[in-house]
Amino acid sequence: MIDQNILKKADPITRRRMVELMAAGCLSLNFSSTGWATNSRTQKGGGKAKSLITIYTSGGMSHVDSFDIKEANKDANRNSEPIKTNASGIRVGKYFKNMAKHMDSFALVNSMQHSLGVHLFAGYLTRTAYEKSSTIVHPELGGWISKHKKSRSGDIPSFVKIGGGNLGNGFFPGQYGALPIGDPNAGVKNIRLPQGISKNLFEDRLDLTNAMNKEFEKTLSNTMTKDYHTAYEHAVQLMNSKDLEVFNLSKESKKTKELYGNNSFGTSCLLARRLVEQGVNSVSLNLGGWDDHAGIYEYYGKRSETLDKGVGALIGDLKSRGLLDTTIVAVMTEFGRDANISGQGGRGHNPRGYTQLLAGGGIKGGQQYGSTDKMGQTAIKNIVSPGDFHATIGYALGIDTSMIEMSPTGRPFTLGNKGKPITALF
Amino acid sequence: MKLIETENGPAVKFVCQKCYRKLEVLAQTSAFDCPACSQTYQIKNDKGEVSLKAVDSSTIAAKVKVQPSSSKRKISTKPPVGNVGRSTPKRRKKKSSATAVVASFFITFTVLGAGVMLWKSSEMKEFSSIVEPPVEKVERVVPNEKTEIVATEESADLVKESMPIVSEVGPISSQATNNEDSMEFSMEEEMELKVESPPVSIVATKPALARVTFLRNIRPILENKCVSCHGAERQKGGLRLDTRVAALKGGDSGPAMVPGNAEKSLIYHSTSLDESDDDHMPAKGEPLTERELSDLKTWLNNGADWTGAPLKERKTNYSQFKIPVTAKRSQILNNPKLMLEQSYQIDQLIGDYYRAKKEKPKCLVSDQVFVKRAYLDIAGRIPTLPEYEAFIKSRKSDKREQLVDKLVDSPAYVSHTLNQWLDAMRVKYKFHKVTADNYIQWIRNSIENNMPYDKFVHAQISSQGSVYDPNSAAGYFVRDRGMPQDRVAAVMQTFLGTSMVCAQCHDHPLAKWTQMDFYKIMAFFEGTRMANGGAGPMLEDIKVAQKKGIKIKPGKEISRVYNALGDQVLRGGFGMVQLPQDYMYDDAKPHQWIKAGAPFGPPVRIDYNKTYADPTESISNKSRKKLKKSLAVKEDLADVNSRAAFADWVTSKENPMFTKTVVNRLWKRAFGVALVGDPVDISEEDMGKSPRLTMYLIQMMKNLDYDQKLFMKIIYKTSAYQRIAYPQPTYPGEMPLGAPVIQRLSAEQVWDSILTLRIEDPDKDVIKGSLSGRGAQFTELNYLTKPMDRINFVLGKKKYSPHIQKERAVDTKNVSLTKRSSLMPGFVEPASFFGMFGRAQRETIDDSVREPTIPQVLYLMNGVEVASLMDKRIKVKEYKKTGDVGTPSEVVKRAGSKGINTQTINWIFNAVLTREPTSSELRLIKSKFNSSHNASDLFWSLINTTEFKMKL
Repeated sequence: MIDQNILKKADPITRRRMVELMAAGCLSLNFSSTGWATNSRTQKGGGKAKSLITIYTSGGMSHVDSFDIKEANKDANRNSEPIKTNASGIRVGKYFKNMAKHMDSFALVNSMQHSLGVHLFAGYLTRTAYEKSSTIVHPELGGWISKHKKSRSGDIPSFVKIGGGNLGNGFFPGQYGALPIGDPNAGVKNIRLPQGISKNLFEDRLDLTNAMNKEFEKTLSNTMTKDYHTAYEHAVQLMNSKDLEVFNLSKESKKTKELYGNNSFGTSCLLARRLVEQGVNSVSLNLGGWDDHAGIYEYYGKRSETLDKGVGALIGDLKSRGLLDTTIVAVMTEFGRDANISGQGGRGHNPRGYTQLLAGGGIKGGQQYGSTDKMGQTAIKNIVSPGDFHATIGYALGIDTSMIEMSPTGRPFTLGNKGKPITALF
Repeated sequence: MKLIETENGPAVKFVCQKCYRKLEVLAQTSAFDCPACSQTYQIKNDKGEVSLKAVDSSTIAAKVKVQPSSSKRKISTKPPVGNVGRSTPKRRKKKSSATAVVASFFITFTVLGAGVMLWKSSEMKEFSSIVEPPVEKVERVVPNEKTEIVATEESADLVKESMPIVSEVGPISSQATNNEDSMEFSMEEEMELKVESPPVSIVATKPALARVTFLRNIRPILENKCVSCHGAERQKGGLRLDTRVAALKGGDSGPAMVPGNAEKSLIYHSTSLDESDDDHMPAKGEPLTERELSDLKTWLNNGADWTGAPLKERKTNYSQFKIPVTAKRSQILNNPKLMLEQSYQIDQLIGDYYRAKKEKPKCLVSDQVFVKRAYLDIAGRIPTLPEYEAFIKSRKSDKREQLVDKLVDSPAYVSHTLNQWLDAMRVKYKFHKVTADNYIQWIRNSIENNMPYDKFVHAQISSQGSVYDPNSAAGYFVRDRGMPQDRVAAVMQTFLGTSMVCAQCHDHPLAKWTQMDFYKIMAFFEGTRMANGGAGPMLEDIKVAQKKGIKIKPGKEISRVYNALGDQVLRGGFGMVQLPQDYMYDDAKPHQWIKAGAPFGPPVRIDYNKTYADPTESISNKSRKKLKKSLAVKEDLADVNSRAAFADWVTSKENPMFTKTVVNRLWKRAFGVALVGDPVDISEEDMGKSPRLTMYLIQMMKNLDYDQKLFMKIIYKTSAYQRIAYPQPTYPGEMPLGAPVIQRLSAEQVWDSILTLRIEDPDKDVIKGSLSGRGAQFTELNYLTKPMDRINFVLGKKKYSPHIQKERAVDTKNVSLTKRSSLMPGFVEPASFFGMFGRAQRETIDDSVREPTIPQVLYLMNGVEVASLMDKRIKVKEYKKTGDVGTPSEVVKRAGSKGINTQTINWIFNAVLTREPTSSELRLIKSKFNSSHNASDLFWSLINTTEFKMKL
């Protein structure tokens, strides 16, 4: 893609910047030039993954009804009737029949914890590993990955987001942001010529535009005009690219589609698999609606089954195609829910203890990491922060999570906000 | 172990036995942690014989703790504070968002600060002392008093010199992370300790940091009183005091300063002499004040840290500059010719600037360029075909001035200016379940009614009451709800151009702001709470209704609407705030309550005896008990409406930053580059390239009583605004003055320009308003005072009041093809038009982007909205669905579905590019297009040119 950040290029070496560069320079000198620097890439288990798929269950998914089964939590067990999985000792809520068949691929991180009980702030933290602030926008995990990993996906950008949300580049230049896909069936928006416009006509029109631009650039030619050039070139290249086939879901059999579930989320999972096959580094999906304050068991089951079908099919499909070893799949949520049922028959927000999942990409499946208390309310053992979770994914992808990136104003940031990778998962 | 002499005193070099890093540590340190692996060491200095032991950190009595000091280089050995365990570090329960950032920012300094340095690996071989193995028991070393070790600028240089310089940040090993973490966590552990033990003892044992900083206290002394004779230009006595190295080197009389010893420092000695003494300094001018002398002494004794570029003599006494007198607002309104006089004076000042630089100003632009520029800048869109033609055909000599008047007074100005203020103030369409409809409407009305800027700001900062009261800007507080520190940072940046972000958590490393400054401002806001929901008068109203025989129950829908009455901003502020638990400076103690105060400008006056009734006391309803509890505060605090006092101070004409900031911002709106510097980060001293111009504009704004429209008219009528634009500067330092710069169109400008090509009157609905369904509903309910009116309204038996009906938006849920961008403030989704074109996400101030991207280009090439502009071949479903296409624009009416001929070419060029085609372009069109092509093809080609997306 294009280097879109002319502003940054124009950033002068101000005094402030100088001091900060110096600071950064000192750091790298101190630590990287020593011979003992052990890179996380070379460490045990890490670095196997090439791609990441994040599945974000926004709203705050109840963990006690899904992946943190507690004997003492009678309410949860009566309603969600835990079932056995193919991993010994791990039980999950009854809605997750498909994922249960793949539990030997999943590591359940049962001891997630932070302190933000508001969706907006917790969601931001979950996506970026930083707390929200009015003075800077942090990159999401996908943004960090596109910054740190080379693109392998031809004409398709290396970060794709299906179904809304920010582009995720934060303070990074736009080129590290996601390609937004609104509808997984429709693919890239406006990629096709409008009805009634032939390819010849399109080329005639573009021809004139290009000729006019040439005239214009006789008087004005600099980055401002050249960036437009590049954008048009790339867009036309993408329009004509064979790589676009990745979005052509008609290539998939009816059976496969049904396996994933014939709904928007299932289709997104299927598209995610195709994108990973194409070599896309990170794909981000979303399944919302988990804010079950009232009458949780009216809706929870159906939603969980949608999630289960999509994710179960995705894991199975990746496995059968030999992609699971190089693809790390993360199921994330902004927080869990209270262990006790509220007066309205729902569960309140609970960031003190909740569960996120990891599978593939070198993760040793069939394990539970950390734990919550008796009822599942508060994480008590091996507590994991959102930053640690990010760092673990970074570690799986072979990214050096201590690498500092400076914001345009010169503030230092790292992937995972200095969280520690959970190496025990590998 | 041998001692070596370093800049900072005797030190030892050794290899960390755990991580094998080479370290250097000052000998007077008693204990410290390896910055890389956190191994704790104890140093014993027995009459010059230094021994070093690796110990378990929990057994250690005192060790070097890294303190992010104001100078970043001071550290203290400290008395025991208890068991400093190194178990799994717990995260602080409530961590301010910037803590982590700050912690990492300090890494470099902390490494240097602890006097512990890492050495490059190539030196390893020459170096063999290995420390003794760890021992179980160590003697407790309790220093008698606080000692401060100061690493200096030179030690930083030392590090730089001793290591190969690489140009980029290389990969950092995982140990680096450990290092950072150990630093961060050691601070956190300390905080936990504080929580556990009685606060008094902590305060007693906490080493406080001295409150003299180079940037704030010392640099002004040197700049004002020393460097004019001892600087780059003149070196009396062979002495320079503009850099630390020079000061250490000294002049004919020897070194000017001895870090750590003020009495031995010539600079202190000579300035503290009696004025009658021959050696007294400064030889000319005012002697140092007592405060300055004591600051100098403290600074020297603390090690004389020094940051920043070489010092220069201060010549910023701008009050001596002579500037022309500006007219008063009333005078201009009585005599509009005076307005041009103001524009002329601005041009004269710019002319002076050019003359001084021996440059010539650029030529004036053609009418074609001017009309596009003026429309885009003032109306936010290109002119319609008739507007273009009318302007070009006009033979009046003052047609440009007339156009400026017409546009600034037009509804389109309201639309465009609204977009700009929403970006500057980061107004989110929806925040925390509260829709910002009403607040946005308030801003819209303020712009339309041309509310003076000072009142505009005052009303927002001091606002209280319902967020659905159309006359209140209380929505302003909803924006940063739950983020009080961010709010303060934003207020200072937006309205005072002062960046204090860093000072949230520690003294600003590169500017003079201290954490105390920051908290003193926070104190103005403390106590303000946002009440959310609460049943309001619902139950009472229902009783009234039931008495009248109306059957009504408090259902979900009704309570939802009534809940909105509870969305209120309460209290004007206590004017007091509690310092954070990790406050580390010596001017106050952690958890101490401090009073509000201003960091610069005139003093703020708060009458702490004049208190207002606490609004929470009026909450009597039992069902609101929980709410009341959540709003409750310490008993001895009272509402003194400190925010009003703060608003007075911010908007005061005496405030040195307020007028300068808005003048700077508005100048940037017209010229594309700021007058002084980054609108959110300028300093009191900054006066821009032409200080006289800046001063003139400030004076003008004050004399205009902050009339924004009038100010903009004057600026747009200058010759400078009409000159040929500069290309975008490569460096902000090259900010051109005296002509605009070329810019890409913003997302809103692109949208509104395409709209202009589509429909007849793009300004039709712009001042109507944007109250959405819920927003309008809540506003209406809040407006109604009688219980029965409210009940009837909720039951749908009563219509909207006329004035609210007027502000209701037709449809806020869909992006409408016929609506201006300002009527769709909520659309920022990346897949939507505005998201694609980089509309501000309004997370941070003015965060829009104008970079071309693939989705943008695809939209312009293949999006039905553009493709269908003139093309009957393309069917837009939305047309059919809403039937909301509007009357087509003049250019579509004239040229649509026609073939390509000279006339249609002209119209389309006029409408899209606001100019005539050149002869070579006519030839191009002839060669590329034939009779099978029609006007819509040319339309497409021109919209997709680079030129369409540029403002020249």
